[in-house]
Order: sequence, then C-alpha cells, then structure tokens
Amino acid sequence: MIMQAFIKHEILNLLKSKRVYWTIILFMLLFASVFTVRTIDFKKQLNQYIQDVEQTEESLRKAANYSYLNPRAIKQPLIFSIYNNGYTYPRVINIQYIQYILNTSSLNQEKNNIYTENNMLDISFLVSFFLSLFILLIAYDSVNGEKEIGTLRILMTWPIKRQSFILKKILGIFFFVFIAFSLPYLLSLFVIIVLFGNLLTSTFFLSFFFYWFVIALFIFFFSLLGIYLSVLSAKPSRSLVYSLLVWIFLSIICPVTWEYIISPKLFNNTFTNLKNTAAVKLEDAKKVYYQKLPDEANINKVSHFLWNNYDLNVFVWGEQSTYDTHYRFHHYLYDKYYPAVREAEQARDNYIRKHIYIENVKSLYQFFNPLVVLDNISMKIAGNSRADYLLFLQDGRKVRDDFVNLGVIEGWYFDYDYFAKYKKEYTPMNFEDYQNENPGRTWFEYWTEYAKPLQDNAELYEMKLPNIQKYQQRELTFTEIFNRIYLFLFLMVILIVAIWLLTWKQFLKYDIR
Amino acid sequence: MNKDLLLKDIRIMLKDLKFQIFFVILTVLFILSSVSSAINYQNKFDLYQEQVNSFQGRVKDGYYTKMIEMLSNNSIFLINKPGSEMLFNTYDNYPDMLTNKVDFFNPYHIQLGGSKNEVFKLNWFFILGVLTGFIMLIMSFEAMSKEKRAGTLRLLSIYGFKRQVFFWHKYISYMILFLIVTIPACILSMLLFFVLTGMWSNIAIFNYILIYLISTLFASFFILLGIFISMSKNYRSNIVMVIFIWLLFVIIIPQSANIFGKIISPLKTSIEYGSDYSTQWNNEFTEWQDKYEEKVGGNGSLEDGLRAAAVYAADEKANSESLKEINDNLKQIKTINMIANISPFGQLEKIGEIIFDQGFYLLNHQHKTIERKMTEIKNLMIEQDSKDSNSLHLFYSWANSDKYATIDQGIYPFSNQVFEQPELLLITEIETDSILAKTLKILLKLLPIIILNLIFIVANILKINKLDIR
Repeated sequence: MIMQAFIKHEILNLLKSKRVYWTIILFMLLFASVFTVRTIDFKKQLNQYIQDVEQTEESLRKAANYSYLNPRAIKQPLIFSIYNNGYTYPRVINIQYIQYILNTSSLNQEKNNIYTENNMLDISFLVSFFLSLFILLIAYDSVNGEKEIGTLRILMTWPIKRQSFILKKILGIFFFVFIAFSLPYLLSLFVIIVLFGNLLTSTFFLSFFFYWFVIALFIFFFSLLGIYLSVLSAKPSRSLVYSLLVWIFLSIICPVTWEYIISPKLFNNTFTNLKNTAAVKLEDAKKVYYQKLPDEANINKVSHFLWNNYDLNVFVWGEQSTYDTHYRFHHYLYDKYYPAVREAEQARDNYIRKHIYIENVKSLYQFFNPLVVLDNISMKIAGNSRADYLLFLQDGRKVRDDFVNLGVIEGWYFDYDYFAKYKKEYTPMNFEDYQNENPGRTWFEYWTEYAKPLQDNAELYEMKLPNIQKYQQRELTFTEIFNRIYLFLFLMVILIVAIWLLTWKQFLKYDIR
Repeated sequence: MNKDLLLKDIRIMLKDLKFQIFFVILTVLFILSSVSSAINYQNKFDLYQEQVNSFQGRVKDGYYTKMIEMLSNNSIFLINKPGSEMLFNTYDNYPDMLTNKVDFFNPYHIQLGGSKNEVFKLNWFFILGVLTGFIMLIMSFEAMSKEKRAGTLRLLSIYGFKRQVFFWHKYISYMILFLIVTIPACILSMLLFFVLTGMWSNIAIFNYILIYLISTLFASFFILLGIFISMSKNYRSNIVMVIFIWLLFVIIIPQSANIFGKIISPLKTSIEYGSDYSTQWNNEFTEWQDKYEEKVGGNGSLEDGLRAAAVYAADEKANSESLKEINDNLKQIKTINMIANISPFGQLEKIGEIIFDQGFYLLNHQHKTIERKMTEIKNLMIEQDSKDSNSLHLFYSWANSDKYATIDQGIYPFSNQVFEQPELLLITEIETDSILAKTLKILLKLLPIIILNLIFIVANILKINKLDIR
C-alpha cells in the first residue's frame, strides 16, 4: 500500500517537472509524426502491391502459351513495418523458368535510381535512439537531485528502508515512461484497426504484443541505468554528463565501431570469398546456358520467328526443325541447366546466411547494448529481417520449381503444343529452298516475302491456364517468434538483473548527506 | 578584453571533468575514424580496381570494342577513383560508377558494394561536424548560469567589467577549448590515415585544413547557442531543449528530408517510366512504318538508310522520355538536399562535397563529362567508320542485330573494326569547377551559418545586458 502511494507520488512528481513534461510532449509529438508518415507510406506500398498483383494476374490471363507465362511471388507489405521498417528488399520475384536465375524487381514501386536514401525513421528507431535518451534525461537526477535539495535525508529519517526507496524510484520512472509510451502505442493500434482492419492477422497482434513486452524491458533497463548513474555521482550535473556519455557510447560509438572497424576487419574476407563463389557459380550457370548448349538444342541455330506483341506476349513458331530444337532445348534446360542454377542460388543463399550470422554476432558481441539487441529483436518480431528475405527467396524458388514440375507432369513443358503454330493448310517455304531458288537473297528478304504472312495464318490454340501454385505469405506463430528471440530476451533479462544488483548495492552504501 | 580573466576561464575549463572526458572521447574517435576510413578506402579501391581490370579485359578481348558492338551496349564507363575524401565522408548515397551508350546521353548509375544503412558514420564529418557540435552545446550550456550561481558575475560587474566582456570571454574561451580539443586529434587522425593508405598530397592536406577552418564556424554556432541557453532562467530544463535542437539538426531534419522530398518531388513507378519509353518509341517508329512501310519495318532494306534513320529517330524520342526519369530523380535529390540544408550539418556536408569533389556536386559534373566524352567518341567512331569500305555507315543501335542481313556479302551496317581509341571509353578523372568558382560556391553556402553566428552574437549581447545577475 505504501509502495503504491510512493509510486503514485513519484509519477505525480515527475509530471510536475518542466523538464519531464517537455520530454514527454516531445516524444509524443515525434511518435505521432513518425507514425503518420509511416502509415501514409504503408498505404502507398499497399496500393502498389495491389497494382502488382492485378498486373501479374492480367499478364497470366493474356499469355499466348506456356513458354512466356510469368507468375510472380509478390510479398504483401507488412503492417507491422509501420513500427519497424526492418531490412528493405524488393518484394517481387519474377518466375520465368527460362531465365538463368530468379530476379527480384520493384514493379510499381517508386525508386530513385541515382540516390540511395538512408531512411531510418520508424517507431523502433524512435524508441532505441530518442526514448533511451529521454529516459536518461528524466532519471539522471532522480536520487542525487533529492540529495541536493535535502529531501533524501528527510525521507531517510522516516521508517523507510533504502531498498523500498530505490524500488519506488525505479518503478515510478519505469511506469511513468511505460505509460507515456503505451498511450500513443495503443492509440496507434486503434488507428491501424480503423484503417486496415481487414488486413490484420493473428501474426500482427502477436508481433504487436511481443514488441510491447520487449519495449517494456527496454524501458526498464534504461530507467535502472539512469538511476544507477544518479546514485553513482553526488551531483546532478555530473550524472548528466555520465548519462550523455553512456548514451553516446551505446547509441553511437558502439554501433559505428562495429560497423566500420570490427565487422569489416573480421568478416570482409569471408564476404568477398562468398560473393566471388556466388559470382563464379552464376557464371557457370550462364556458361551451361550460353556456351555448353549442344548444337542440336541450340534454338539460335534454327530459324524461328518471334513476335513481340504487347497484347499477346511473345510466341514462337517456325519449321519442324524449330520445334524439334526447342523440344530438345527444354530437355537440356531441365536436365543440365536447372541443377547449375540451383547451385548458383545456393551460393547466393550462403552469402545472405553469412549476413544473418553476422547480425546475430553483432547482437551477441554488443550484448551489453540494449539498443542493438532491441534492433535485432524488432526485426525478428516484425518478420522483416534479412532471414525473412532469405525465406522469401526460397519460397519464390519453390513456386518456380513447382511451376516447372507441373509443366513436366502435365506434359506442356515438353510438348509441341508449347508453340503457337500456323494453320495446317499453310506451308511456308523453308529458308534453304528459298535460297536455292533465289541465289544471293538475304534472310531478311526471305522473311519479308514468305514468312511474314505467317501472322495471318497463325493458329493460336486455346491455352488452358495451368493451376500454378501461388506464393503464400508466411504467417509467424507464437512459437516461431519466441524461438527467434528467446536468446536475446534472455540477454536483456540478464542485463536488467546485473544493473539492478549494481544499483541496489551502490545505493545501500550511498552517502545521503 | 581581460587577458587574466580569459586565461583563468580556460584553466578552469581544462580542469573540468566534462572537458577531460570529451577530450579523450574525441581523440579516440578521431583515431578510430582514420582506421575505419582506411579500411573503407581499401575496400572501395579494390572495387575500383576490379572495374578497371574488367574494362581492360574487355579492351584486350577486342569483341566489345568493335564499333558495331559498341552501338548496342553501354560502352562508356565512368568510375569514381576513391581518394583522400574518405576520411571526411564516404558519400555512399551516390553512385560509384556510370555507364552510357555511344549514341545518346542516358547514363545508368551503379553503386559498387552497396551502402551501409547506418545513421552515423565514423568519419570527420560525423566527429568534427555532428558530435563536436553536440559536445560544444553540452560544454557551454552552463557557461553563464554557473557563474551566476557562484556569484562571480555580480562580483566582476562590481569591478567595472562591461557585461559584453563576460560574453566575449566565454565565447573566446570555448572557441579556444574547441581548438585545443580538435587540432591535435585532427592532425593525428590525418597523419594516421595518410600513413595507412599511403596517400600524401599537398592538395589533400590543404582540403583538410580548409574543411577544418570551415567547421570552426559551425562549432562557433553551437557555442553561441549553448551560451544563449545558459542565460535562461531554468537552464537545467533547457538541457532537453538543447538536445532536442541537436537531434533536430542531426536526425529529424535529414531523415524528414527523405520523406518530404519524396512527397514534394514524387517519381513515377518503373513500370510507368518503362511504358512511357515504349510508347514514345513505338509511336515514332509506327510513324516511319506508316510512311515507308516495309523499308523500315519487319527487316526492311538497309542500303537506303531509312531503317537506320527510323530506329535512330525512335531511339531519340524514347531517350528524351528516359531523360525525364533521370531529371525527375535529380529533382527529387535536389528537393531532399534543399530540406536537409535547413540543418547546419546539411550545409557542412554540401560544402564538403564541393571541397572534395564528391556527392551531388560531383554527379552534375559526371553527367557533363560523360555527355561531352560521348559526343567526342561518337564523332571519332563516325570518322573511323567513314574510312571502312565494308560499312554502310549507318550509326544506329540496331546495327549489330541487323548485320545478319548483309553479313554474307561481307558488308556491315556499321564498321566491324575495333575502335582505335579504346582508352577514351574509361573515364576516371572528372573535371570540376575552377578554384574561383568553387570558392564562390563555398562562400555562398557559408552565408547562412555566418548569418546565424551574427544573429546569435547580437542575441547573446542583448540578453546579457538584460540579465538579472543577482
């Protein structure tokens, strides 16, 4: 009961402080601005996603034959990216099974091709960068400030244990900041429900509550740290300098030293090797396609005609030899080229895996830095980490593999119906006969005189759209999220316990005079 | 000005724990920045060398320098050679390499090695500009209030010191403090960087001295701001305001610039730009097709040059559409920079760009250089081609694919010979403004910070004259 009164008293006291008042007002203003900007950005991304999906489906409907079906794996923007932008990557994977490797693209996204923007402003950044500083600014004179004006000495003459006093301080500041964060946070949830209610999934709510819990731990850590620094020095002006130093060290010096000195020194060689291996494997795959292709399967060595018609996509026709070569070409792709492509993709995955490994090492190396740990945990909770990008790539490839396998099972992949054909009654003269009849004439002349009427004699067969497996966006479960973050949560708890013990010990021998 | 008072002020500040801690931090950071910049330089240089080797391989191979091949590929390469600027800033938001075809100016921008998505970078711009500004604010926000609390302000005014003198003493002592903290660390950092990278040039040293001198103006602004805040009634509450102002300049303005820049100068999507390009191309080509029918379309005849003219005209139209995308991109960058320039740090960064020939300043010159070189190469190619009897002298992008129409007669639409001056295709030196023009640009960019300094000097003098020193 006394404790409750103390905490209430502490919170009310904090509210009366002009400094605290301004801190909270500034934080709320920043929260509101960042949330608004991020929500607008998300809305834009969502519209672009809808356009991407519509255009892809339309293109699939219009495809003239199977060879140029272009399904895509398109990732829906995550609502939780409003809170945590995470690792940004193109959200569209083009699945064209003739290509040498799956590529990603931006489709309807706006992208400046000259300037790489460095946009970090999201709620996570606001919390890790600003809120940590604001907590330290609130807490730096919480104990020595009371000593300076003499209230600490008066309080200690009452029958109050030192432990109770310090606990009251810790909980008072923690609850105050936690409420100050939770108010706009919950309000933002309400806005999201109103604006995007139909898109909300259980994963979003799981992420939302996990994130809330992690931020509570974060606030608790910094409240403790602020109080510890206040207990550590006799004067508020000194603890202010300590607080700022600690903040500069945690938020600036540690991350930049890691990013620009330690990480390049430790991992650059490995990165270069993995990057080179991936490049070599890609070149090998290209060689299989361009150089090792046997003549009997080389479609460039037979006359075939391509029409690039924007409404119908592209289709191929020609003489019997054209069909036979294309048939052999696809067998070659399936038997020789795809294994090489998969190897190249594996090498690229290893490169990404190394990045993921280093991100985890970074958090473990800076285990004492809750800002880094929070950054790592936030992406894992939100589902927009580099590991999620890897999963997205793998899912895209799975759609590609299923698509190709479906073609093999259904037969159209190795079928002559793969091509658009001309009408049976129409027989164009082949190029060899044309040259025998017209010595010296070029291929282009042959084209103009004989092959061009093919357009009028085309027999476009009705293509039945195969039942292509669509990309299914992953939804994280409670266990998955927990498994991703439990190690880092454990680190945070250890840190909190350690700093708690330090504060406790320090305050027991604190000179209150 | 009282010499004893000034010396006493400086001596007290030197003994202050705040100063000692910040001095150690800054020195350590300056040393770390040299190490980090040297590592960064080596990585960038390796990437640069890789590109140069790749270009030389292409020249040696001889295939890609055949003039008919050059028409269908991006043949001109402009690569940034990393240099001494890496210690000041990395400028990795901008491309490291540009490639262009030989027919129209339409550069493709490439970033080698990607950019790090970090708010802060360990270099001089961050330490000398951003962090030192913060440190000077923290050092000086108690300048007057401390004296007032101790009663020394009252005491000194009894001795007949003018109030303005207090302000000038404080200001000069903090400026000297700034110099004491930064000069040795800067010299050490510069030397270490030059030793680690093996670079040493008088121009580089001059550039670093210049940027250092300019940074003193920015430090001065933050000292004046700190002194101004220290004269307010509730100075401890104002620490929140001080830090907020710093964060506003360092994070909020630059980060918001990205967001608002995109809203003010939006871009179309890549699909829209692509579609505009195709539409322009198709419309123009269709017009030619309607006019000349099979001479242009399908695989029309080459000898009359109509097909080449049609493709060239369609390319020209589409290219002008493509340039709109580049201009939109540039316009967006300009808007972002304009908003970011509200912050003094944004201005310092832009001045750094001019001094070290980097960033957006360099980009404009890169565009001019590549356009000029392209015209030169184009003329040389046409001249060399005119001497080739096996060429139809048709300069157009499809020449390489149309060669199969005449190849069996030993004739090419455009010369199949190797370009005689392949060294022109690689550009590593970019000509920028003359020293006079650069000086004018720097002075213009310095004007806002000079005005801000003057405003705060006047404001501080006015405030100290009204200050209740009891």
